[in-house]
Amino acid sequence: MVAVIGRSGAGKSTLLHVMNGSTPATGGQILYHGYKSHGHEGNGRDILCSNARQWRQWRSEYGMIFQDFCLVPRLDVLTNVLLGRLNHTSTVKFFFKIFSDEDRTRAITLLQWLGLLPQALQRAENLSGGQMQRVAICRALMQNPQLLLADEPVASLDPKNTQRIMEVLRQISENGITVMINLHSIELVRQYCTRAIGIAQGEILFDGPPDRLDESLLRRLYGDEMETLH
Amino acid sequence: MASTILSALIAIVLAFLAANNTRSPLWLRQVIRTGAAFLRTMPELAWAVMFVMAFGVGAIPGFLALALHTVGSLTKLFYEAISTASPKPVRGLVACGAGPVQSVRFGLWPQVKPIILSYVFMRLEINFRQSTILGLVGAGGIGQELITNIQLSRYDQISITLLLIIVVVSLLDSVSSRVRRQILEPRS
Repeated sequence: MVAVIGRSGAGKSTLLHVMNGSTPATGGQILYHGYKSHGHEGNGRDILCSNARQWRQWRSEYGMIFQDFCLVPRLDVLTNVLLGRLNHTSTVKFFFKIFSDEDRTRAITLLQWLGLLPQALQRAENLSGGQMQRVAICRALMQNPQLLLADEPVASLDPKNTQRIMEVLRQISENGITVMINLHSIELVRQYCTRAIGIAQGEILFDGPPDRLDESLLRRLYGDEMETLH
Repeated sequence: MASTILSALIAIVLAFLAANNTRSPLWLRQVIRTGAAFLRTMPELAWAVMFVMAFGVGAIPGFLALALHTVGSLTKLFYEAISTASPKPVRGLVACGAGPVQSVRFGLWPQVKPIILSYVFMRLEINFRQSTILGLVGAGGIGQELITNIQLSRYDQISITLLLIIVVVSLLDSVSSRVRRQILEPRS
């Protein structure tokens, strides 16, 4: 589980938005399934060189969780979760909400895992913030992702729901899915993440285990925001 | 009713193509918006007189006059509603790999469906009343019945026709509010 940390405006969210194509990149590369370092070139592909179809394909390969959940409020929880299969089902079937039994079973299993089965047929707009975020996680997992991007997923949640969501994300990462998460709380980074990347003004200032984050480094990362950290 | 339903279906498609947030090309949006403005600028009565001259007295001129004006007004109302829909559901769906059609179907349509239905019922009511006026210029419908009865001084028939109009308008109002409630109320 990799945390991206830094003060407001450092570029944490921009990084994730560039990765999912909602913000155009001004330069650089995003290499997936490969690496390029020390003169050694892997067989990875540069996401930024994708055409529209390849972008859609790439988006279906990772799951994305947003701070404001981004669910469809008027659809029921089960359908919201099934929307994660969007790119794996034909458009005509999807248009009329025809989902395969396999997909339905998987959606129900995920909802049960996250304790949301009783709410499966309720509209998403009737759920609490913590429940909505768990639905969003289920939707992301429906994509069978190898990578989960989370843009400040606990920023709008109370402490109890924050712990619950972070615990779920930790379990997901222990099941072999890489979780890349933007966090504002150093305490959560130390508690849940195995690697932290600290960025300031688009530059990487730190990349390593969170227990190596000391006071002086945090001061360089956060500057005058240091007092508001917890 | 036929002209309202047909016009509403056409207006829904046009409105999604004319809205700012559906990734449709700018030139297409401009063409649809200008076309819709032209259709609703001409009053139904003017359309009806034109079509009566072209097709003669009957139901067709009334149908076309109502349909054209309704497409113009509903397209405008619908695309305004679509443009103000929340972008969050669409953002979530695009992140799942949704294309433009899928984003519209699941991101925008559930949000605007109650508003669109509301407008369709309101328009149905307006068109029903309007059809009585169009009948006066020979464009068919219940207005044609009314004017014939007035000309023949059949006051009992006139009363029944007027009563029928009142009953149908009230019925439409109650049906529309029930359907709206059914759609708007969250399932428990």
